[in-house]
Amino acid sequence: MQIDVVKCSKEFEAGKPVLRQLNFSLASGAFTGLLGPSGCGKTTLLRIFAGLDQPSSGQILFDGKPVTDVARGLSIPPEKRNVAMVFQNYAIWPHMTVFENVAFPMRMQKKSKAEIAARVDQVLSRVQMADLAERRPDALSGGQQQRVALARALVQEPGVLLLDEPLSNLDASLRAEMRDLIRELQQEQGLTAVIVTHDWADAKVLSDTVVVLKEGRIEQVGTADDLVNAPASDFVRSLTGA
Amino acid sequence: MTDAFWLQAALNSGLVVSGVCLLSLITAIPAAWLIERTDLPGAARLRGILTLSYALPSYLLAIAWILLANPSVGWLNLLPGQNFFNIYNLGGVIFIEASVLFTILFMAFWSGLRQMDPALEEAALLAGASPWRVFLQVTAPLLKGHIFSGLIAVGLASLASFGVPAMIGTPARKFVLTTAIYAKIQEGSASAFDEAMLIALEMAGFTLVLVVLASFWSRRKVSLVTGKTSRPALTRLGPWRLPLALLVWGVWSLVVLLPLAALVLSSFCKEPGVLSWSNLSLRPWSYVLFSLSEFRRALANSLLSAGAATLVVMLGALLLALLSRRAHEVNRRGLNWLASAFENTALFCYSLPGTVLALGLIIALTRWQVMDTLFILVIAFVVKFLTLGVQTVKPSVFLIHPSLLEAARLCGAGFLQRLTRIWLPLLKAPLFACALLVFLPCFSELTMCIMLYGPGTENLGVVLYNLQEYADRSSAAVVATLLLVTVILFRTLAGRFRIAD
Repeated sequence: MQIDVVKCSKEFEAGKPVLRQLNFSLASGAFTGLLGPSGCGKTTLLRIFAGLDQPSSGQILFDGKPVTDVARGLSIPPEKRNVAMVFQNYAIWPHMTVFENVAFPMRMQKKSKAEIAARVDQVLSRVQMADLAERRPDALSGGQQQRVALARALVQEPGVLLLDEPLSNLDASLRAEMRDLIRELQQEQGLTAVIVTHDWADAKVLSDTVVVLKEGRIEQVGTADDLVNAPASDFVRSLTGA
Repeated sequence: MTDAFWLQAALNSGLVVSGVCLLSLITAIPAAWLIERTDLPGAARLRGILTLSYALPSYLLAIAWILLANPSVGWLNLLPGQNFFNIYNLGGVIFIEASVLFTILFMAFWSGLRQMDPALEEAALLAGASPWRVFLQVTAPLLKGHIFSGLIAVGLASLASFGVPAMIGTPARKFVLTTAIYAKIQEGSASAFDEAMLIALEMAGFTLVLVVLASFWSRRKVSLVTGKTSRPALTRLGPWRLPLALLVWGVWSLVVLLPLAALVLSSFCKEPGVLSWSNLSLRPWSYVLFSLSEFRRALANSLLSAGAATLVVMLGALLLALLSRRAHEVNRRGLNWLASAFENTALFCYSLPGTVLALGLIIALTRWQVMDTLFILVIAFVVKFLTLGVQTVKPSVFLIHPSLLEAARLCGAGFLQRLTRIWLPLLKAPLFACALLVFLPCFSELTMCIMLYGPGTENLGVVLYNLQEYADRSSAAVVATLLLVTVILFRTLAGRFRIAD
């Protein structure tokens, strides 16, 4: 699914814009990294894609169709966008088992029990969590919760997968492993995916395209190589560590 | 015969408790959700107003509804004719109790919503669940603990309430357990006293069971706070926004604003129940303020007893909190046990119906020369409200870093010096909060005072109750208005200092 951002601005408080007149497109089937320091507006943009926040002005188009259009007062509610999100703190429901957590999106799609059981089992195996399907989330490690969150997002077969700093709470070795898993899964399913990160290594490994944000404006758009070889500014150079 | 009397009273209490719980459940939960999770217009203001009525003594509303809906001269009966509305029945008791007590459940559920990580609900939305299903399958199950412990608190409060059933139920000969105990004690015979004692003991046992249940439920509260806090996405009500706002504000106006307005208005009426310009007058006010000697005495009694009790509670809560911190630090079993025994006893005494607690004090303290003095009121207030102080002061005591005290110690400060130079200044804000929180319910207390007062020690609650009994409704309205203004003043003050409930 292609995402177009048209003249998108956001202010939480008057006079303090978080996003300033953003214009760009994310290609269908591509992995896009939104890179920038904290406070640059990247998470806000992700939440606007999901419909969890509303921009102050501008439009968001999914495959050319507006899902948010401030001028017309249009905003498709989050539950009707078929967008999946992996939250920074995973947001695993503590009152449901691993299986129930992952099955939830399919239950909302009113799939049959047999279909749900088969598909959830398949996805859980894919993230190596099939053995722990009946566990309660409080008995899981951070890395395991991360896998559940990922499985829950994948099972939905979303139009776009949004990842909000998913790797920031993991230790270094686990981080590399999860990074590879996320990339593999995205490519297997041909998913359109957007990851928000402040970490150059994550952006570099995962993204086909990196969008660098600074104080609510786009600093540079390009492949990881572009950013390293032809940085648009000292700011980009400092982010890539070159 | 008396067996039937008690059985009927127990049955009525059961009806009141279940009625109030049910009404609270169907109003408090949707209200909290609408206010905290949707773009309802005026949500913040509405929350402020609802938390304000949390502190309202419910008997004020009873007095107000008697003005509005008594069968002979109630203002609501002016148009449809006499007896159309009649507040004097169990339904009236349930309605009035619920209109105040539902705020307990509202606050419990609202604070749960507040603490909960919004990502838990957002994840369900993105998985395709409608806001309604998110509520049913994620929000409500996660906040089960808050709902149940809130409901138990509502149940206990409605079981304990005295003022409303005494003013609304008793005239119709509908007794609940608290008013039945009071009526028996009034009889004055030894056998009646023994019967009342027995019922009080049973109520105490029942309360104990509920308190244990409630603490079990609050321990079952799942941990909802995780990582970073983000702004929760507000559900857009769309076309429902205005109708829902009208509904919520309309219900509130009808249930709280209308009776309180009637109360204030009738304090300016020479003849209660007559609505005309010529009936308006300042006479009730000048009578109460300048001629009614009981009022001035009661005001002094209330100020004195509530003030003294507040000071004792502040000191007691501070010492208890320090003991519990000490126990925590040295981790010795006996000390830990002692601290939690004190705290649990205080909590139990708070949950105990005031009628039962007062009866217990009468029995325990008859030998001491405190009956018919203000001392017994102070003792009763301290026993009842100590836990409110502990709950406000203890968290702050645990937040203070040990190094601050170790440094003082190394400078040579002993316990008393540390208390006055370090603890007290650092705990100024929570102690002030504790004072506001404790003074208010003591100042307007009725349930215990009506059992414990003697000649000359009536407080405002008792005088108000007596004025209402003698059918001096104008004077009662004046005293009630004064109490109402005090409550609003105190709550605004508390809000100004950002004191959480």
